[in-house]
Amino acid sequence: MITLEDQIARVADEAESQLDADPAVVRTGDRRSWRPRLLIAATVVLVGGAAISLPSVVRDEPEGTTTPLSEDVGPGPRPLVPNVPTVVADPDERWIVPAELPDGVEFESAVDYGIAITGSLAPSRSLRFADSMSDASVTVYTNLWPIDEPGDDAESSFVEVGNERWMLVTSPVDDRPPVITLGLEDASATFGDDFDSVVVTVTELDQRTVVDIASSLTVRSAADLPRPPLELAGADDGAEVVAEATQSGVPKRLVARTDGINFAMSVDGAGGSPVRLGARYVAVDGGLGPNPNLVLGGRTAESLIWGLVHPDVATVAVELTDGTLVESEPQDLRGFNEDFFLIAFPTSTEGGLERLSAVVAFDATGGELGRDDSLGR
Amino acid sequence: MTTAGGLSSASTDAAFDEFVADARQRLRRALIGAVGIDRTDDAVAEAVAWAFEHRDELAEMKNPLGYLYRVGQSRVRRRRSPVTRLRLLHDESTQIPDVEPGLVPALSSLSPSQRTAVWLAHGCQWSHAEIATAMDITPSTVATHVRRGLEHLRNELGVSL
Repeated sequence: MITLEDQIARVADEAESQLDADPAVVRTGDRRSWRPRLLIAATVVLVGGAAISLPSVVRDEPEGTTTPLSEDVGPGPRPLVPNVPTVVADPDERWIVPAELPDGVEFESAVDYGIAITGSLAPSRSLRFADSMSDASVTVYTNLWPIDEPGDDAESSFVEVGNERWMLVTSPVDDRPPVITLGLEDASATFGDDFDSVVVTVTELDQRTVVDIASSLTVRSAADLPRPPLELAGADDGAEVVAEATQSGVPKRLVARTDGINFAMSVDGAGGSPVRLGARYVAVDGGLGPNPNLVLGGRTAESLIWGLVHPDVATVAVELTDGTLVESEPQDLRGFNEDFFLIAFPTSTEGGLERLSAVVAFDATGGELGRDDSLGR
Repeated sequence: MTTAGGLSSASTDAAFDEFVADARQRLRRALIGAVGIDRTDDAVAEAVAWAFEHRDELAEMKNPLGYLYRVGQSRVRRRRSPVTRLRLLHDESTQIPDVEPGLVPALSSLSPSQRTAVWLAHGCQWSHAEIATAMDITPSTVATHVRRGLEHLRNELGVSL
C-alpha cells in the first residue's frame, strides 16, 4: 500500500478528473423525459416604439470597457466587462460616509431608496462595504432605522461616540462572530438637518471597530462615492426597461439601473437590494406574489420572479417544489452585458412564492449551468 | 516588480491571460478541498472574475495565486447554497486504486482548516508558504494543521502508513 500522503494525491487526481469530465455543467440526464414540464411561454410584449431613451450622460467611463476578452477562458462563466453606468451622481447630494474602514474592506454599492420607506422628507439610503477575502462587511444606513427590538439573545447598551449617545446592539449568529449595530436616532445635530438617523452595522468585526467607523463618519458629496448611487425606481422615473412578461394576464416590466457593477431592479416599483452577477450564472433579485384580488375560489394566479443571468445562459427556468420547470428565455431590451429574467409561474396561495424551489440556468444543450435557491423553499 | 506568479505591473494582456489560465487550473484542484467539488467551479469563476477586476492589485502581490484562492473560497462561502455536505468527489463510491476505501469520507470529515491544509500540501503539492498565504495563517500553523490532519486520518483509517 502506498503512503497516506500519496493516497491523498490520488484522491485529488480523481477529484480533478471528475471535475474535468463535468466542468460547470451538471448533466442531469434526460431531464426532459422524466420531469413533468409545464412550459409557459413568458409572453414578451414589445411595447411598440417604446425603447426608453435616456441621455447617455455618465459619471465616468471605466477603462477598458471596449477591450475584448481573451477567447480562451476555460470552464466557468467568462468574466463580464463592467457596464457603462446608467445612473449619475448629483454633486449637490450629501451622503454620510465613513472616512476610515478596516483594511481590505472596500466599497460595494450605494443605494437611494427614496422617501417612501420612512415617510419623512429625508431619503433613506444605504452604503455597503465588504471584504472580498472574508465575511467582514460594513453597512451604513441613513434615515433608515433597521434596528428591531433586540431579541432575547441580543445585548443592547449605549455608548458615547463623539458627543452623542449611540445605541449598541450585539446579535449572536450561531457559531459566527455576532452582528454589531450602532445607531444614532437623531443625527441632525451632528450631520445636519438633511439627516434623521444613521446606523452602522458590521459583520465579522468587533465592537471597537464599529465605534471607530462611526467616529469617522463624515458628510460628503455623492460625486465623491467610488460609484454613483443606485436608485430603486420605476419605468416612469426613467429607469431602463430590460425585460417584460405577463403576470395573471397583466403586463409587467422589469426595469434596471446600474452603477457599472451592481444592478438595482424593480417591477412596478417593487425592488430589492443591489444585485451583482459576479461570476455566477444566475442571481435572483426578487419576487412578487399574485394580486390577492385575482385569487378567486381555487383559480390559479401567478407570481413573478426576476434577476440576472450570464449571457451564456440559453434558458432560465423556475423550478417548483414538485419538480415542474417553468422556462423562459433571458431578455435584455437595453443592451447590458448581463441578461435578465422576468418569469411568471403558477401559484395557488396569496403568499406567492411557496411553490418556488430554485431558479435554474441552462445552456443551449440543456445542461445545467447554475442555480439560485435564495428565495426557494 | 514581478510577482512569484510572473505578473508585473507592466504585464501585457497576453501575459495576464496566461497567468489567469494557469491560475484557473491550479485553483480548480486546490479549491475542491476547501469548498467541495459541487462548488469548485463557482469558486474558481469568482476568483477569476476578481482577478480581471483587480489586475493592477494582483501585480503588486507576492503570492497572487494564494490570494485568489482566498477570494474564491470566501465568496462561495458567503452565498447561501443548497449544498449541505461537502463532497470531494461527484461519485463518492469511486474505487481509486491503492487508496483506502475510507479515505475520501475521512478527508471530508476533517475540520475545514485541517482538510484545507492537508489537501493543499499533499493533494496539490503547495508549499507551506503558499498555503500560509491562502489560509492567512503562519507557515508553522500550516505545519500543525497538516500534522494533526494526517494523525486524525491515520487514526480514522487504522493505518500507520
